[in-house]
Amino acid sequence: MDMESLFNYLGWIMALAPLFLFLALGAAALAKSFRESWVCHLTQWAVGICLVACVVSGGALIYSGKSEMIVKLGDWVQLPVSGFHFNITFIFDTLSISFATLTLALCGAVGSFGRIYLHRDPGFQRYFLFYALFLMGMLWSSFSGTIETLFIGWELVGLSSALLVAFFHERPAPVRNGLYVWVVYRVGDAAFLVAAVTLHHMTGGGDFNILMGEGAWPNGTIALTSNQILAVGSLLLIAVAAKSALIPFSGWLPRAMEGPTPSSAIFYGALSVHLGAFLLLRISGALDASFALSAMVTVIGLLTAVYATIAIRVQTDIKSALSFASLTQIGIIVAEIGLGFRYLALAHIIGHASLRTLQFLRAPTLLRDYHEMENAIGNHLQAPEPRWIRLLSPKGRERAYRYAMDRGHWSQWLDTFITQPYIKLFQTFDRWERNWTRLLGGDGEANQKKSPKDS
Amino acid sequence: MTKKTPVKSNEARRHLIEHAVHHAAHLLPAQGPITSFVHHNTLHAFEEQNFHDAVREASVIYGCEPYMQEDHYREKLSQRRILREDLQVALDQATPENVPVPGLEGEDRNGLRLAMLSHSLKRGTTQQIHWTLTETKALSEFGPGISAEAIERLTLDARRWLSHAACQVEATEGGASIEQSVFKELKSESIGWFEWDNMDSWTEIEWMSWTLKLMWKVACIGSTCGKLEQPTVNQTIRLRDIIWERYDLDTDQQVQEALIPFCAAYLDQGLSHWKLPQRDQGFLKSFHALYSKKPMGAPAWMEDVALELNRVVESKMDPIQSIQESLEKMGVEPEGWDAYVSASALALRGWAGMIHQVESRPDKVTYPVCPGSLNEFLAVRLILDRCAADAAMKDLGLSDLSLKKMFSDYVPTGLDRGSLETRRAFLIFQVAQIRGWEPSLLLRLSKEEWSGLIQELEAFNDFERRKIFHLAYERRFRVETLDAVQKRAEQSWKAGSDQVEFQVVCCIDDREESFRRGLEEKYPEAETFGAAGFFSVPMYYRAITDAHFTPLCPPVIVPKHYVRETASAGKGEDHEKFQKIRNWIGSANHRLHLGAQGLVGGIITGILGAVATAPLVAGVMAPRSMSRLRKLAHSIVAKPPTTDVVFERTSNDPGTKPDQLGFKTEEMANMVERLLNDIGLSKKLAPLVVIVGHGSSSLNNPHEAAYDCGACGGARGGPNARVFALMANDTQVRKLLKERGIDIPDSVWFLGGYHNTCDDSMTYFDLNRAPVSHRARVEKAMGALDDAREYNALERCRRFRSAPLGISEKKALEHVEGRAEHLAQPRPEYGHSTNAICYVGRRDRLRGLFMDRRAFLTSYDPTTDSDDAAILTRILQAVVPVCGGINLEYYFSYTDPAGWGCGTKLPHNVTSLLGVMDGAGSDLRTGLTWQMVEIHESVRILFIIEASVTAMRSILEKDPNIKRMFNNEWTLLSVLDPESPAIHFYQNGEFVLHRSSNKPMAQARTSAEWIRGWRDHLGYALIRSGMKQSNQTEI
Repeated sequence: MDMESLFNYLGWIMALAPLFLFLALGAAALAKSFRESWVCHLTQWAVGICLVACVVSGGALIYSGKSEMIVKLGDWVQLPVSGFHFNITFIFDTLSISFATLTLALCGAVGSFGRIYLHRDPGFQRYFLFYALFLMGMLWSSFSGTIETLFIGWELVGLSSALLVAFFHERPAPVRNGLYVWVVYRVGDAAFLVAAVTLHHMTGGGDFNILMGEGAWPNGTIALTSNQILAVGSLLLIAVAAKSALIPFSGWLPRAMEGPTPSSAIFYGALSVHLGAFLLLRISGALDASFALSAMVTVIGLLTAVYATIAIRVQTDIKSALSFASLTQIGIIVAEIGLGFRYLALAHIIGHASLRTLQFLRAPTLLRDYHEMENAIGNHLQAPEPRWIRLLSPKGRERAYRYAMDRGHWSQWLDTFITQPYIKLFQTFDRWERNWTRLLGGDGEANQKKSPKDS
Repeated sequence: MTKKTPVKSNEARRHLIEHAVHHAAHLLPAQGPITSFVHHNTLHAFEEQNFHDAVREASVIYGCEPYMQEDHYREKLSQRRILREDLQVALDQATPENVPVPGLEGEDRNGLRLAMLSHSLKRGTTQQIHWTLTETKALSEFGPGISAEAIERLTLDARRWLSHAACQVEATEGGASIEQSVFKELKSESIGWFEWDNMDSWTEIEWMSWTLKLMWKVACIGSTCGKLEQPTVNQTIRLRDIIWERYDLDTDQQVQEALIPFCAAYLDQGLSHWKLPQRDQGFLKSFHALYSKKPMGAPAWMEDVALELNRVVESKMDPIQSIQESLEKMGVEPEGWDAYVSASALALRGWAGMIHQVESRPDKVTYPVCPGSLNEFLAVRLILDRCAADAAMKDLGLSDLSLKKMFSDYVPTGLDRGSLETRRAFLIFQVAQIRGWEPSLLLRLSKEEWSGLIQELEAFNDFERRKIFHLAYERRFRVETLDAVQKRAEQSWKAGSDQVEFQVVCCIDDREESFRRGLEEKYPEAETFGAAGFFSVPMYYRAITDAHFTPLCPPVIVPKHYVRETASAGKGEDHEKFQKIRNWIGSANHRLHLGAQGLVGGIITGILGAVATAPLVAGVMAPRSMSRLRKLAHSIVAKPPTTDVVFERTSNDPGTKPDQLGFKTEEMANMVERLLNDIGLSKKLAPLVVIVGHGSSSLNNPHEAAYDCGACGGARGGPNARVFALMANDTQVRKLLKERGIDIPDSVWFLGGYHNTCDDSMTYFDLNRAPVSHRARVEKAMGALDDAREYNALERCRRFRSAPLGISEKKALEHVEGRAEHLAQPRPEYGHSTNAICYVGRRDRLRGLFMDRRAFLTSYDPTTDSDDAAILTRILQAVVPVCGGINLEYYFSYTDPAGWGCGTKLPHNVTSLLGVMDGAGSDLRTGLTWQMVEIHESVRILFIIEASVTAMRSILEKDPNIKRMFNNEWTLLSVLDPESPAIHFYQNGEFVLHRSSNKPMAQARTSAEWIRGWRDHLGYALIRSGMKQSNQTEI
């Protein structure tokens, strides 16, 4: 078997195993018959197969001496006249294989964790259904070779994340926060979609090597003009910011801590939030080619890190504290990417994701940990007040505290400057349409119920 | 509580507010920080009332369920967990004067009620009822469970009536009798539905459908008779509820977004790095410091909040005045203040309750808060409430509508005449089918008769039905328990060995029941006793590895003595080395913990973080090996030295200084005397007595302390057992005791031990002090206890669905060890789940009875007690509140897991180091987790006390606290006669003789055989192993 077909097989395995898992669990849900042990076995098998495939692909890549392998999983649209094409392509390179291995390792660990943690919970099967969806999204995103493949994965990750935030749907808060996360994701997705269309418009295809340049990651060179790069890059940056909770979209991350502990761990602490950083790495060729774009990335990253490190000082619950700790590091990772430290950023992602997963999973044990540390040290624990706080005047301290407690007002800003105008605009359209209908059809039917207010 | 006369004077108004706040504080959950979890009656505030009245009132105030759902009980009825006989008895007792229902021959109150219980009646809002009528087959098919005979009878009656009425209508045109109008209405409604003219050819199905339509119509007409209860406005309604109901806007959401993080920061015990500004100045000042200015970007209504806060603080208003002002501005009338303040406090009951707990028990936390914080919290809450309501009205364009007016104009929806009548009609419609009331019969009822019938039906409302179900549910359990106890007491069984070789004294905890039974079955030469797990040694204790002293005694006692564990003589250097290494590891750990959250430290830990996958994967995949590895690593780095306990005091006053630690000889003698007398052990000591304290350890469990010993105030009772054994072995103490008539011979040795109820491990203290003469005996006893804990693990595993049913004892022990060490395990053990009984008496009388880990077992010997039952009184003074509290907390947390309990623990989020929230930001959750109570049965605890009726009666007269619990039926009481197997059950102030059924008692050779293959609750059985008939050999 030659390399080409080996990678072809591996690509198919990793594309289809999670899909099969999702369909099997979904079918069981529809048939309303499942056993916890079946769900677990299926999940273990799917993750296990993918992990083996992933490791084999890594070995094969090293063995073959190539720096990347591109596998086409079908040519879906081909318009020779205009040069348009739409295909699903998997790239095997250092970046994708290491990110996918991380994903599978953490998903595997969290899957085993969930097997016991969610035992006897009425949502057991639903949890693993979303988990399968998430796994599929992550793998498709990791290996994606075209912007449309990435988009599919990206959407699945967003959907499963929002559904898991709203996992306990019998209480209002998780549903509200799940909706909030979903709406923020949609804003990012819209930007992503516009970027994809623009890219297609400019080049006819969505292949990443246009943005990555010819040559394997991270040494690509680029064929677009710098203005084109800036345009597509900025749109993608919005998508990245929404996915990775960078400024100004940071408000959703602490709100996402509504699901069962393991899902918070893997989705928001570890994998989902790093997906934005991963996209930046994927298009790093574009960053190299446009100074303005990389400057923007660096600034947003640093601002996020500074903001998160202020906010974390006042957090009084362990999950919020961990989510802001995550955000600090994600900001730094993004800044690293902007500054051109690609391998450092990759290592940082892997290390950080692993650490946070462990910390999130151990979050309920905090009281015991504190007790043990206290006993070992022999006194009450004293967290030193950050030095910079002492530089502020008492009034300044109060204001800084309020700023941190209100989480930088980012949610409110978004509400005031995006959501409210958006709603107002559409309410205006609604009014116009109503008036127009009245004008055309007379007063009779126009007196309908006002459309429900969207928030 | 409320006054009808208008309250004028300022003084009186202030007094009203103060009273209201005080009342609200009383209603708040009384749970302290979860690091030391104390079980208590969830409705402690209502104990002055009868149980059923209390749950009725509390269910309205708190919005929680008083009993389980009707369907839950009905399912139990079909599983024969409740028998019809129980329902009958419960009904008879509830209404001894059974009256006939007017107008309906052969129908009486209890028969009607029994029928309403046996059938599941549909209920709902008007919309739901209309939907049921139009979209389901409610009007074309009879409900389930109605006999064919009844259907035939009803149809025939309807048929006859129809032909009769049709004739009548044709005979008298324009008549106006009810029957005629019904006929006309039905006819006009049914046009096109079937052919009116040829009724002869109607099918059976058409007739049935017509009958039902007629019955519905009749029910509708009947429902207009009779008084309508004046809709009472719910006392606990707040302004937010009105806005929510009318405009779909939840102002609480905005208020809580500000208030929850602030409360968490105010109470924080060291989780955040940055202390809340002006925290020491109290809640209001501190809140003012942050919220006196609206920062850019904050929501607009915060502007009003800032203005109001500034005004309140600058005019030096005190919180009570501010509360009064807010209430007046919102238009709450003085007679509603009490309820309104309570409702406002209960809207965020977890946080408000914790503020109250922390302000009133500053000794329980590291960082206390100012007294008066709850008042200030309420003042702030009401300011926020009204500002948010104002803002909401402004948003809705209703700013001209004053809050005052809104409040006074409020009429709750769904309580208008029409919808009440629809609901009533639907009820009559269903009951008429069940009871087979013919439509013609109902049509002949007079207005008064209708009114009487309706009253009869409506008096048996949701609450009453569930109450009867619950009484029947408890009765079945009680009857079976008392039968079993009586039958066991009738047997002339005794322990299989005449020679007692060693005795084991455990905590009275229900989890030790199987442990003790397992030991007794396998070792007839052993005897077991139960005593409250602090073994009458109340103390502050500090272990060698602890930073602070912890109280080890029931929460009602404030200990006076301090005890410390120190390194043994000659081991001081080892200890210092050990301490240094621990200190170093602890500081490093703390720095790592902080660093990983910081900016710079985070980068380093982040990049090196991949290392974390190793412990993560290992911890999830192989928890037991991982824990062994961890222990091994610990023991290589630093081995803890052998220790001693400083328990003899030299100076006069107890305290924390080295010479103030411990007890005086006389104090020790008192404690030893007390325990030995309590459990009736002073005269029959075996050569070896093992005192076993207990506790529980589990990973990743914020509620860990809730599994510990309740008699030690939610801590571990090992040290108490250890100190007790040391005291009882002390020659000085023994000398003193001998003078008092308690002779502990030199051949008797006490050994302290500790049982971990989660991983079922045993630890022993001061084994090196065992006299040479006792070594073999000690080893034998340790071996026996090892067997007992293995058996105990087996009996626990039958409840865990993840343990196979046919598991062996060895594997069972491994299984429970794995549970305790597993990071992902939300139910390391089931705690006190299924507890339902408390036995106080001699173990001999119940030895050999399988009680399924449901009984607290307290040892008490009535034959050694004084005439005025002094010993029993002091035992009950401790046991009734402790066991009653545990039982009632489980009762409520199971009955309404999300309301009284704290729901599923999967999304729990540790907050401020003193509680948990659900997810990102919710109220602080109090009560027990669902994972802790899911196998529980909500029944009130049944005390079975071995005492004469007269003795018990005198105790009830003497002690008002015990009397309150039993007379108000929070706990149930029965007495087992010390000399005969007679049992009396205490009911309505009378001791009624229990008559057991003739059913023979189940028997089994061993408990292991009896439990095999069964997961659910298991009935009583006599276990032959380890027992023999009196004067016979072992059977």
